Amino acid sequence: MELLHALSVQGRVISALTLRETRSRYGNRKLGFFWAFFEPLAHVAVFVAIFSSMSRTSPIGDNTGLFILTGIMPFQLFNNIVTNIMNGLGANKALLGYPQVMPFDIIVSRVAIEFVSISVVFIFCIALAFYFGIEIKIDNFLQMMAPVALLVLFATGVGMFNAAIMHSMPSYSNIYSALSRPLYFMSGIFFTMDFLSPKILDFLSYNPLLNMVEWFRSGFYSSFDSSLYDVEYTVESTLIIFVIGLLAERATSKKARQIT
Amino acid sequence: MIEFRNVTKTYHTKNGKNTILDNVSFKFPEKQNIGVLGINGAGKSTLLRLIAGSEYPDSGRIIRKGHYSWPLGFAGSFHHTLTGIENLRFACRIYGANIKRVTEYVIDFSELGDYIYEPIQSYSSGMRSRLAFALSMAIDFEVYLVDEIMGVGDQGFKDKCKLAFENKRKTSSLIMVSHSMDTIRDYSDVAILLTGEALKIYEDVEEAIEIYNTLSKKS
Repeated sequence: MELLHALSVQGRVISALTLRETRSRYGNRKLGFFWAFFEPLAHVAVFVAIFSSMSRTSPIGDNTGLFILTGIMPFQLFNNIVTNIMNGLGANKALLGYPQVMPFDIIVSRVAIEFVSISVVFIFCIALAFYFGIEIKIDNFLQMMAPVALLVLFATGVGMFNAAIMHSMPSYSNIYSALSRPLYFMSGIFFTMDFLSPKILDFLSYNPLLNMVEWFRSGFYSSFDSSLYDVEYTVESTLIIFVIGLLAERATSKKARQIT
Repeated sequence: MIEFRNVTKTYHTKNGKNTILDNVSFKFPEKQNIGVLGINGAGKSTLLRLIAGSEYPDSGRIIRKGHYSWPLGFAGSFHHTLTGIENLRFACRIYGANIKRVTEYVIDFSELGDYIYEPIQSYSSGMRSRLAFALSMAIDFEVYLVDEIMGVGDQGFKDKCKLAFENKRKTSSLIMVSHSMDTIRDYSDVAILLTGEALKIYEDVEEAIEIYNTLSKKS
């Protein structure tokens, strides 16, 4: 009974927070909605321009834009979840004054919003591409979604870990954003794993994101089935990072609630 | 019902460790209005936040049964960039209260007028207290935890608060922190004196006020 009650309270809190955050992101300013679509499309446009100026063709399929899109969307999902978790506690500190609002609830609601936002944007872009006559046939939906689920866990783990460090070191957010910048070039947004020389691949394949993007594309494209991504490594590293993130969150959530 | 079992709570400040409760076991009297007295920095607000569950003790347990309000104070739980009405809706949702009914009550009781549609950051502290008080009265609680906000506003509003509270007397009680001894006298049946590390209860509120006065002169 008590557990049931606790769960219903937490459900209420998470749904209230989700509603709250959705409103402040998309409700008050139309620009928020526009930006959600514009940002990935801007990345796509830049890479399409670069590819065509180098007269290079798309590594998979015959549309470069679609190829970039299938890389940038997972990457943005990761990036947005991490930064939203990092900024989430500061933005909602006052609401933690309500005893039933836990830092973890804020994290859950932010991850949910980000996942839904990116999914909507992705579906919209795919529909747009379809409308312009680009042939799209999703090869294997489950194979495509499995790495997405892992990516959400992985990003949440990294976000929670970062947020925990920020409690004692607020400037860490700048350090992280500098350190994580190279990830943009190392996560397969504009290349596939077989494009890399064996030496570089040896090194870059430690990046779970690169594995996830490769895996995602293998599910998305019927003409592409990579044998280079490592399922076992991706699952294991994701779970390890997620557990570390959870422990870090547990260790600091008491402190997060203190008003000082 | 609220009970502290071996509760210790300290704060780290720039001047070192500040102990608020040191291994305190204490059962708060039920169905009585409690005024909490203590000199500045003794940790009265923290005590309320511990009772509410907004903050946790370093060690020990806090056993709480019943429906407690959030700590109603100036710092409050309101999100500064959201409007009064948005904050109200959020509170209704997390407490499972009827938004329409609460909104009507708060608009009428708080006398905030169109300000209810403005962000909280544009409110004066008096307006914030009015919103917090009205909102907490609209959502029914068994125990109201009031941090300072009762003594604010003009006399008319003070009377209104008093009346609203008297109407709830049968179902609700109050644990309050105030610097105003008049407010403490007005509302409290018993008083608790927080003397940095320990809690002591006084059945006679006047006696507690007297001791508090000597303490605050010393410091």
